[in-house]
Amino acid sequence: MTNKSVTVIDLGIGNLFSIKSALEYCDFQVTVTFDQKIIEDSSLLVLPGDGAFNYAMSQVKKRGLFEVLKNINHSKKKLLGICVGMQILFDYGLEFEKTEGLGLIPGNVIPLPSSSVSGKKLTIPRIGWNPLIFSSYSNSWKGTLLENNSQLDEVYFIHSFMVNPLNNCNRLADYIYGNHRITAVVEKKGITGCQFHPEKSGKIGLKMLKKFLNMDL
Amino acid sequence: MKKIRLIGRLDIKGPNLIKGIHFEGLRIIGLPKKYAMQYYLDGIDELLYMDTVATLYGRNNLLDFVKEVVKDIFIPMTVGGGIRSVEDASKFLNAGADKVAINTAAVNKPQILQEISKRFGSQCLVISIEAKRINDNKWEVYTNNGREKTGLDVIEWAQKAVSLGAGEILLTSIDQDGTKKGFDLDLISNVKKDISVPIIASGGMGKKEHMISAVSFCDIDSIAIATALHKNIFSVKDLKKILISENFQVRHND
Repeated sequence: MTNKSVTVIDLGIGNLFSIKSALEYCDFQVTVTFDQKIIEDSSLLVLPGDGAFNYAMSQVKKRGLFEVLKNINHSKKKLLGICVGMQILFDYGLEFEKTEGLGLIPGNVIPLPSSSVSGKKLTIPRIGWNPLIFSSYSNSWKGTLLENNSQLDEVYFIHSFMVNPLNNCNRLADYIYGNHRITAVVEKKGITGCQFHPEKSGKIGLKMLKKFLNMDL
Repeated sequence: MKKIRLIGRLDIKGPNLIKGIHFEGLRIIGLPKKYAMQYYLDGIDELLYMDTVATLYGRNNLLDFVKEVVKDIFIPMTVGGGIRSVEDASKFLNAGADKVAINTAAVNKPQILQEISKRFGSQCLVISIEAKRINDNKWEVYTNNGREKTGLDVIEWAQKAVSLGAGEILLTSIDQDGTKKGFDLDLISNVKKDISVPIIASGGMGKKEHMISAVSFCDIDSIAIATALHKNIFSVKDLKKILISENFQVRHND
């Protein structure tokens, strides 16, 4: 029995049981909740989410979590946002309507490009496995959840919108779609976001979760 | 170079993995978790579980199964069969499914596609289309696991379903299903023409040439395979080797 624990924030959307299973597989005790107090008291948080940005944010507000998450104490907590849980870390999203996000990482969320660099129509949503590469601004993943992974490790993406970070220094990893660089992982002071699903990316994804859970604050 | 997504399709009846031909003469193959686990370890990209009798009997056995496999299998899974409402979809998505596939309920009440996609996003909504050929370039939509005609045209229905929010199409040829005689390439090409969402071709894989033709001649990259895997005509590893030798990309096993 382990006493290491992680809190999964329940926005009522997305595949909570999968992320819970994957975190348990990493030998952590998992609490799935939207209780403000528990979330405030947890030092390790995972924010999963599927679906639309505006719906995710409406759930954040409906569950009374807007202030708690917006004012998260960087020095005392680590947070991992996954898919839409990553997207809502940004200032605003444009899915269905312009919606304010948590503003933890500067930037916005915009549609994936509809055609490749050479003009070929792209299949949207992008569903499938893609290799991760360093972003143009990163050349090491040391000290991040990707530390134990290598470039070209493949992970599972399923999305129609992508994050557009204002500051390139927040960009850790990209993937290539239709010759465009798409942001795959972002990081800012203890807050990490993955556009892909580490809990659905086989052993490679489990390695990232394990690293995230065991990283120093 | 095109990267191919291989999807293991497991048709399930009660506790068993089954498989028929043209959706009929269903035979028991074994326990689904054992097969799912094997395909996962061999590097399959996704798994697809279809409850073949859920609609017929108005019930769903798959929920417990999904909760069970998600503890050990960490790749995407789609679940279909008997999903009739937003609540049904919600149950499966909460149990560990990443996507739900809907056929009969969407034909009966197309708004269900809008309701589910608005709530959970298009990315988790697969329209499952069972197509039977009428003539050279016309196919009819069937429901209830190939049992009932609908009078709907496959190409028109695919477009309508996508406009209502389906984020992916599982396109199964009833004529080819379980025959090991190859995919219906005309069907796939005709449906793909005006569709931007991914299409998964299903039904008919028996020889490596079938897979290669489908991904070479049709503008798709996703293939669902059932019989050929269950009967061990090919392992997942074999399929990846074949694809690589034909200059396609595949996911490297981890």
